Amino acid sequence: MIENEQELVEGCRQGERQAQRRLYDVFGGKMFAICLRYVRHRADAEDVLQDAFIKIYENMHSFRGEAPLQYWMKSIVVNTALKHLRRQKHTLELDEVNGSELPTSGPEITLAGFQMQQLLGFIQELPPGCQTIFNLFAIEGYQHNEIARLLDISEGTSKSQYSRARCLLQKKLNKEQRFDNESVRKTQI
Amino acid sequence: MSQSEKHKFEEEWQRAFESAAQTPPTSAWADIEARLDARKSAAVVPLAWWRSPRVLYAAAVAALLLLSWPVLRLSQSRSPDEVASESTKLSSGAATTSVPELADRAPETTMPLIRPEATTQASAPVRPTTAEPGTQRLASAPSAVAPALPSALRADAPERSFASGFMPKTGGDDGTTVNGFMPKSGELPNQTPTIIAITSSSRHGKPEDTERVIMGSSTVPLRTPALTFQIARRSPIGTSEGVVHLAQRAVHFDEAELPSWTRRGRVRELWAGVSLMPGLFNPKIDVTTAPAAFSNAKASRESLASASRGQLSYSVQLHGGKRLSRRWSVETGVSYLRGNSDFNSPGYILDATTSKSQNVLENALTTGKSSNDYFSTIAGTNNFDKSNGAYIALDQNAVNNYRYVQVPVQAGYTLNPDGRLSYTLLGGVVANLFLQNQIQDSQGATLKTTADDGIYRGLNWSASTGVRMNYRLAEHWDATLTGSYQKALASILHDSRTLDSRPQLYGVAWGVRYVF
Repeated sequence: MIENEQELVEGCRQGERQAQRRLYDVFGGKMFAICLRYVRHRADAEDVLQDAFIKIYENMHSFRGEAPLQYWMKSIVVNTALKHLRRQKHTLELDEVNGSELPTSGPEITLAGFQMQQLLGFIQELPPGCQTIFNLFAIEGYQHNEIARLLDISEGTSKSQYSRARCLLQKKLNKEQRFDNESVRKTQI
Repeated sequence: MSQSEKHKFEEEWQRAFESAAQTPPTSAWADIEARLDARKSAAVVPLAWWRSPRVLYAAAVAALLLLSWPVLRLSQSRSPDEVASESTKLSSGAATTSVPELADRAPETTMPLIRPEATTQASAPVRPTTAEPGTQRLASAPSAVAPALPSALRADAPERSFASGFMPKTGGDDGTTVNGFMPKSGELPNQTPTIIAITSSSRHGKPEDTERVIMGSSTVPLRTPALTFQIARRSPIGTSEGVVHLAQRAVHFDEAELPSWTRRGRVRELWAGVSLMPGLFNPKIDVTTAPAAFSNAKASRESLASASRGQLSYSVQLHGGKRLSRRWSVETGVSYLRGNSDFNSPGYILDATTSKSQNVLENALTTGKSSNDYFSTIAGTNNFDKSNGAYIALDQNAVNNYRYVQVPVQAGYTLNPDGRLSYTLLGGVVANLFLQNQIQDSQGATLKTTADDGIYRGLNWSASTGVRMNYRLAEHWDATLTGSYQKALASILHDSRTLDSRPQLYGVAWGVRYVF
């Protein structure tokens, strides 16, 4: 697949429908997973995916091949998702962080044993603003100053919202793990 | 929680979603394909010719020619004064002007309107009648012409008085007077005097009928091309000679006697108006070469992918015009344009030491100027290190607004000029006087540029075209609705090495005008 990446890019640059379809087949699943991380509803994720692929096809001429195609496509998908959220004003819904939601010291829970679908569910259950910032910082790897610029918020807000997201996720992971442990204990008894 | 623990948490999430994939719905590709097809078919429309500067220059030249043609035409044609003086000579009986001997006395035959042999006597002197000294001979017309004319204007129509005050009755017991064929004021179309001349002579009977004349106090040339051609076409001698003879005829009438609606159609009509035009202004910024900061950050290609988008703008216009002929007009004015737009860039440069950022537009504008002093004080963009910038691939929208004073000069060609609703096709050039440009990025930082900064051209030209609907509200007032399009003929920037900007504006203007 990868060895044909250049041909795929060239085909898309020429507007060949077959190449466009192939690109979608290869990367559509991964890009759709990204969309699902940023928006709550599957229908919205589908809209973002469509918009992103149209952008990808139209801007293929600007892909210079210095980075892997997947990363380039990923950045377009993330930007498209953020635009979608901006249109829906979700990123503005940044609530004040409660003291109880701030991270507390405790045993770090690993993600081992959790299904990807479960983790995706946890992220989607986060408050919208938190969800975006968590995705950008923890998974995409952006810095807080970059997120602040991107979402037009202060760096402090980005940090506090991330802390809140992390705390909420830890609670969910704890709860799930406790539930799993209890289930295991019960079955052992 | 230690830093290593923090990093571990994030790394775990990154690993978990590194190769995550979810099968998209099967309908997604069909929708993408449909959208691609729609865009492809939309892209077939050959609008690219607008982008060619040659075509735009050609359009501007054509507009100027259109503008100057009516002026030249008017200057070459005879002025009303010339015709008046010629008519006066005729009236005094000393005229040697070529008023042809066209009389044909043969009744009830389809005799030609103008006898072929009459053309050889084109210089025949006018023979004034004793009753009406200083009169002009009229052409006779065969009876075949009369049926084609409105019944009210035919010789057998009831007698009506139009200009009895200054048109003395010419003798004749059969009532073949000029007055007899003149409808009342308000019922006479523009061509009436010429028609009168023909219908009066068409009452063939007595030889003296052919000597009937029309006399009046003022003179206006009657050169109605349509009617001239219509009459001449019926003549066996063809149109050319007919045109010669008929074009030289002058009919006298008092302008004050004209019905009011004909005065609106007079040639020297002036108007002044005001209008408001909501529209879409797009500066069409094109990054031609990546600025140094972007090249150093290995983001040359990304910087070229930036694009500007038009936003709702408005223009307040004061304009005036002059009608040069029945259909041609010239107009000018002054307007204030507030052009709003967005500049979208796929990333920006972040100075690692100062944490200051610039998108490609801001960077090109600040570095395009020889001295950065202005920007260092106003925009806080001083000390931007070109070699120490990192490219951040994040979509960024900046508000990019312009202010111009515009002076358009346009030629107009009006369709249905005498109707209550008329249409004017406009074409010309617009002088754009730059006032100010203001760029505001997503963080609220503002970069303001005025004409004194030397970045934008103080004067820039645009080609313009449009269509205007004029609706006559009252005798002096018109409501107007104008759809117009403007495109800059050259870049609005002094230095186009990095940026090229040729704005376009299209909108619909609502307004009123007063016709003097």
